[in-house]
Amino acid sequence: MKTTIKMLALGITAALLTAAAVEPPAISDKAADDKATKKVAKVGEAAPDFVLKDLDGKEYKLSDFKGKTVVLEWFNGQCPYVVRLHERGALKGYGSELNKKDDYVWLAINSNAPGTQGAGIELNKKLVEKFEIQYPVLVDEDGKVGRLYDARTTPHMYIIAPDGKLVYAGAIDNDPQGRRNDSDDYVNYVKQALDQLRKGESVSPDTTRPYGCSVKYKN
Amino acid sequence: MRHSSFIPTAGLAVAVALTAAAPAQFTPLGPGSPRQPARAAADVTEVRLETDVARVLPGSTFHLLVVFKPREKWHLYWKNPGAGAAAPEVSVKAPLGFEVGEIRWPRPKVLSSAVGDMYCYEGEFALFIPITAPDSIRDGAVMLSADISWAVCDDDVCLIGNVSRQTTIETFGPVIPGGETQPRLSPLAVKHAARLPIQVKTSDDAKATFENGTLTITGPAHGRSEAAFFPNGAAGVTYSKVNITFADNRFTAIVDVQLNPRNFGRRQPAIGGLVALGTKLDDPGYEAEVPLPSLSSSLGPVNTIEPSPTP
Repeated sequence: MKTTIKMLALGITAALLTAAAVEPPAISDKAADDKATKKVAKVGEAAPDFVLKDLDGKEYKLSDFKGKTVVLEWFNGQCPYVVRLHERGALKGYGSELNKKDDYVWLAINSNAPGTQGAGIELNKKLVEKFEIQYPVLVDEDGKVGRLYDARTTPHMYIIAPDGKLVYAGAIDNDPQGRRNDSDDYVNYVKQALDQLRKGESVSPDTTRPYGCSVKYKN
Repeated sequence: MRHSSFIPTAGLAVAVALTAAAPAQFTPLGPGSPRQPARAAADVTEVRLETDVARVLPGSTFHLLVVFKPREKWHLYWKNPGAGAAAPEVSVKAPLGFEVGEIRWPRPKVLSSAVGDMYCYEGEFALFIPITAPDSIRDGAVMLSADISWAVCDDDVCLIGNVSRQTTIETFGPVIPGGETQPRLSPLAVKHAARLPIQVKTSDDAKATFENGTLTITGPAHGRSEAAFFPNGAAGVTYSKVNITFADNRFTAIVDVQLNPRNFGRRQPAIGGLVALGTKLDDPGYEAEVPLPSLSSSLGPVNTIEPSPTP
């Protein structure tokens, strides 16, 4: 991910700064092009289908899980946010437990390009063991599925209802620095959304700001 | 996806329990592990706690400075990190009677990434935290401490750090030695304060309103003819088209705002952002925050996003 400093001179007299949306933040030109020309996942609409292989080469097709609640977790096991969440945070054991239930499927997706942090099948096999993950980690090295879902960070969480609609996109919780999980204002957004779905309620919030390491997409 | 319910503002709390979490570390996984970061956040970031004055008078307000200095090529994030990782968080512990205010954030810069624009800090910068001393302080000294956590990233990796820092400040009772009336600001504070935006709420010349889904911020242009808008991150608030015009050495920033009450979370959001004039980090800027009056009165005429049906 090459960063470049942008001058803040975004306009001289009558400057029109388009797409300065913060929630989520302004998207890159490439992402904007992708959004304009391709179908991109949107909360409230049908989740785009995809086919990816796991670390052992087994194929997974999203639409095969229709009728179940599917959780997608964008994954980079070397990102410190992911490490913390899997070792002592909201992701520790949670996905594995949920994945054991008949009505749920939890899938991790690694969209980091080869050679970048957290990429590589052998490495991910070790990370799966380290975090005791008991659900598939799907490999998306070309980033197509990541871009299809507009996944920005690891983790970036998505929930797909049994009818195939995307009902949540965003952070796992409201505790990026891991300091709040004992406090009253701590919210595990994914758990909350799954509870709401189970009760037949509408998911609220349905979109939150994801936090974590940026997905290291292939250039 | 244009809304959020996570407010990435720093949580300031007096007497918050000390979290002694160790800096995030990576366990080496041996061969086949590309780009193993061998560092912790504290290795690439200096973090200091200072005060802007050496001594404080009864009832006066001073600032606690959390000074970050990331190594070259590393960056931290503004209160709204944009597409970046996360803003620093600071929990301040001060003696009873001292009031701790909200963090004041210096002007950030934009870094572009594959996933969007990030609002960042490179090089040394300081967060300013106003603290008001009680009227009853006596001669002596008080200790202030802060638990600080932050994300620091380069082009390839992010690291998370947690540290606790302490500093002391002298206190004087009503009688001030040498007849001194106002303690002098430290050179460090003067240097870093230059990047702090002017708060619209404290300025006679600037104004911010939020009506009919439009945020309008006006103020003196200080001779500048260009500006950028950095929107505050707030749950359920999306900032779209931004139009900044200049006339008679004044600027007017008009920002379209969409609200999604479903994603407000537990706090009623405030609408606002920073109008950063000019192009230099120490050019003037104006930061505004307009609270939403109430759900019932604010959501009628403004741009709202209908909740999507859930099966």
